[in-house]
Amino acid sequence: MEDTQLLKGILEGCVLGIIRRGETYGYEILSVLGECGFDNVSEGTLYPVLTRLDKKGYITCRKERSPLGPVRKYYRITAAGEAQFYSFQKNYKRITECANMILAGGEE
Amino acid sequence: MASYIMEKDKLTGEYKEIFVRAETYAMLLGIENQVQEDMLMNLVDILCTAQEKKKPAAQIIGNDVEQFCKDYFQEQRGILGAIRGIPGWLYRVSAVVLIFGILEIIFCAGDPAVQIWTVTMDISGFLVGLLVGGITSCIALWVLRPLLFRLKKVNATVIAFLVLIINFLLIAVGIIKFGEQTLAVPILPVLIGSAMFVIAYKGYQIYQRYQKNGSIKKPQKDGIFREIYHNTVKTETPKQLKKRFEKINKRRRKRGKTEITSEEFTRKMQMEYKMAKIAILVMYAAIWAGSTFSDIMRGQWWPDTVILAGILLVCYRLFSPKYMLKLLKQCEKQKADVIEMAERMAEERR
Repeated sequence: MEDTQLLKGILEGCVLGIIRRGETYGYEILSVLGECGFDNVSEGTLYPVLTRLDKKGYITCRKERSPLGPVRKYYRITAAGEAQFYSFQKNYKRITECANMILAGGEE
Repeated sequence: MASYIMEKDKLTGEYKEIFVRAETYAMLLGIENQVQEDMLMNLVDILCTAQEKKKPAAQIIGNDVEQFCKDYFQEQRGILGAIRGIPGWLYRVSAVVLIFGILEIIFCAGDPAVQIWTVTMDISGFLVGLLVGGITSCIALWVLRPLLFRLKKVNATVIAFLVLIINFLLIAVGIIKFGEQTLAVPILPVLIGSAMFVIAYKGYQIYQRYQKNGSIKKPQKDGIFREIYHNTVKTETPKQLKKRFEKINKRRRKRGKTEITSEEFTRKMQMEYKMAKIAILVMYAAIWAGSTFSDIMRGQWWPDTVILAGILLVCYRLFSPKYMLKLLKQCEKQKADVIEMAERMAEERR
């Protein structure tokens, strides 16, 4: 059973990590998340995350007609977003190291 | 014209069904137009892509459409969503109050017996409107919205029509119940308050734009929507003209008459628009004359009548079918028929 609170805590950082690789759009982000095992993340969860990241200034968005016709939002990370990503990465490593120590110790 | 509306017809089957429910959900939430436009366009894009790549809709939106809508529109829902909508709503009310108030003052300015600080404004209509709007919103949120996910099939137009009927019925009840009551308040404080709010709201929007984009100009998105609108008008016009031309000739064939040529069709369209222009001007002149006849007879012809004439002219300009008029002018200039001209203009890049 997936812990939604755990997912909420890391989703913003993961989405930033995907956008960091290069300009991308919503469907592509969902596909990458799915390929990495986050197959329960839907557009309903992703869109508010992208909106929050945009409001905080961590990503920018430009609009262009997609090959299929509808106007598509393309996202790109900003300098503030890069800084935020590194901060998330550092904190995530620290927290998982601590958690692993406890969880590994419990199995013994 | 909302641009996602032009794209949503590309969706079929389950993708279309999901979109219709989400669109109706957004409409019932009463989300601000630009935000709704943005969110629904994003959804059309993602569903179109999934449809193209044959990815099941459930992998995009999950298994529960209702939960998807609640998540997708979470910022616009609930008490916080309603509170976030208040400034925009107050801005629209203030703008309307400001327009009517300024008109009231201008119309009173011509009367030397009236002093501006004694002028009052009847706000009972606005209050009844507020009450009706509030009740309609509650019905939309608490009755219609839950129904959306219980019905097997949803038609957004039918639901929008239902909301409109409820609104009209409530307005009728409001007029019957409170129609004769008035609530006159001094106009100057109301105008000053409204003007201050409108300026503050617009100023805050400009400040936010500057913070986000480094410029006070409206961002690229408005340019894109305007471009899409113009391109759609350009591509649709020759199709509609051809349809009409074929319909006219089909009717003539049925009655045993000879078909008209494309040149004759062009002349017919030009005559129709000329007559329509004259008819509109005659109608406006009649309205103007009718409403100001007694003032003119008493020799009190300005500023009311001049201002009313100005407003009517602005309305006439705003509601003129600009693209068709431009097209017909080009036909006259280049001596081309209307369908050929429309196709030529559709191929031109903006």
